[in-house]
Amino acid sequence: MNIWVQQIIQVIISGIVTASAYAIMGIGLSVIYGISRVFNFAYGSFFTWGAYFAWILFATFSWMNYPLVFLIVVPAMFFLGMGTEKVVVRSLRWRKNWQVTTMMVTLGLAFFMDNLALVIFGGFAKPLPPLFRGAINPFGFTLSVQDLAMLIIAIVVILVFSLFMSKTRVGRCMQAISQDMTGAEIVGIPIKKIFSYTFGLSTALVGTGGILLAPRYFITPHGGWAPFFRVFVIVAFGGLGSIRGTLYAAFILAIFESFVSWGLGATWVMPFWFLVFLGVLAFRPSGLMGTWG
Amino acid sequence: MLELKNINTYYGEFHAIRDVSFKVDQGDFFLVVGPNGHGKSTLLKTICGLLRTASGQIVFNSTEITRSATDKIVEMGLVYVAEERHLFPQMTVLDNLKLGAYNTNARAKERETLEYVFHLFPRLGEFKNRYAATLSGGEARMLTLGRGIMSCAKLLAIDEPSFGLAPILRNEVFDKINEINSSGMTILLVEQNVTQVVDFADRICLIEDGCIVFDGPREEALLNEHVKNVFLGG
Repeated sequence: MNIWVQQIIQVIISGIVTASAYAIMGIGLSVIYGISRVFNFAYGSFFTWGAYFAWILFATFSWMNYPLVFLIVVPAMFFLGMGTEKVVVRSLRWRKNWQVTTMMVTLGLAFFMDNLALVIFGGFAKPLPPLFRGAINPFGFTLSVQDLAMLIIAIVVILVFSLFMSKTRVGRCMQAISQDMTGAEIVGIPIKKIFSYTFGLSTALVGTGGILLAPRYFITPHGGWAPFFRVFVIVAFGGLGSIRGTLYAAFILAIFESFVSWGLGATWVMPFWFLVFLGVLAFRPSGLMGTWG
Repeated sequence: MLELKNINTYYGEFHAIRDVSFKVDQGDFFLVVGPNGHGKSTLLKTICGLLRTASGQIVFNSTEITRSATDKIVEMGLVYVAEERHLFPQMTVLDNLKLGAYNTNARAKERETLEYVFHLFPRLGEFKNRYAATLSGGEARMLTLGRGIMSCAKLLAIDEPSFGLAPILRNEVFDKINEINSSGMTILLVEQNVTQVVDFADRICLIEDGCIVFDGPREEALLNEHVKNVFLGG
């Protein structure tokens, strides 16, 4: 096969793998806005903390493994998110300008969490062991087992998430709230409780993203901002609050990112995201599937 | 069944409901009339817990619900049917109805109630797999009523059901509401198009500028000069 074609396919594969992690995190950021109407600026910090929790487990118990890490950290993140909603957001909700206030408060929370991480873990980057070692070579392409696992885990998470949304009571209530909040209140859905669950779910999703990406990159106290910014652009591009839009956007933009990184070099990756963001704001502020506002 | 004692509600700075008191008896068709923007919708939203009263007391089936959350009020059987409908547009008719049966009491009787709703509104049964967004105005209105009934309602507080409907559809909606009332459901109806509904009402209450200016049985209302002037005479 032509070497160029082979390289391009390799770039696309790499994009798809990153996209899967972005998709999980994008869904989390999107639901929290679409359902509980809060824009969570501490999202990147929860990403970091998810990874740190995993690191603590690995550092403390030598026999620790990934399935157990997911089993412990993901529920812990869920409850951390629920607690955050109850303590930080609930008292502000529905006051004057509360959407701006909650943005500011979650931004403050982000600084607090990042600096807490700096105090506890120090500035040195922490590694997580690889999810899996080795690589496979289907049709002459190289794909590390870790990337393959990440892709599979992400697909499973997205499938479970969509089943949860369409089949369970709580999921249906979340859909109802995102489609018409007053309608949900009228039929007697306890919306405050569902808001907490939504925060929990969103935090669990970003925590999962944190654990999945940490073995590829290192964990640093402020390391959550770069993925958060990417995910923010993804949900803006896909239409904040639209799950399907977020999924499309994650794959489109991650593959583009992969090409930018390959063709122009990694230094151009963040400017690329910024340009996309400006483009979205200029030409289609409601995003692909548009449910902003 | 439902009693309001000296209710005052503010809509922002605006004093929308002023010292309103009335009583709805079990099985009644209670009609609240009044010009647009005179606080009728605010009144219903206050009763159903969507807005908070500044002062006063609301009692439903001898339980005070003045500061209760809407989900608790719905669970007790007091259900609001909004003028703006507030359906779930990206869900099917059936899913909308099922979400109506969210509370524990309603869930237990979901199947029976659903049968009753489809019997009452055969069109909803026909369209049960269509998305709510695709319904016509009249069908959507029927769906809001059906969804309210699904909550295992004992009292339906219905806000301006004729809003945005052609006169012939209005009659259909009012006939259905009357039918629901005849089956034993207590109805608290807020309306502007009084002529088409006045025959069904047991009791009529007139609100102007957030105050009750008349409250009495239908026969009395029909004799009252003020009520006649404002509405019935045109």
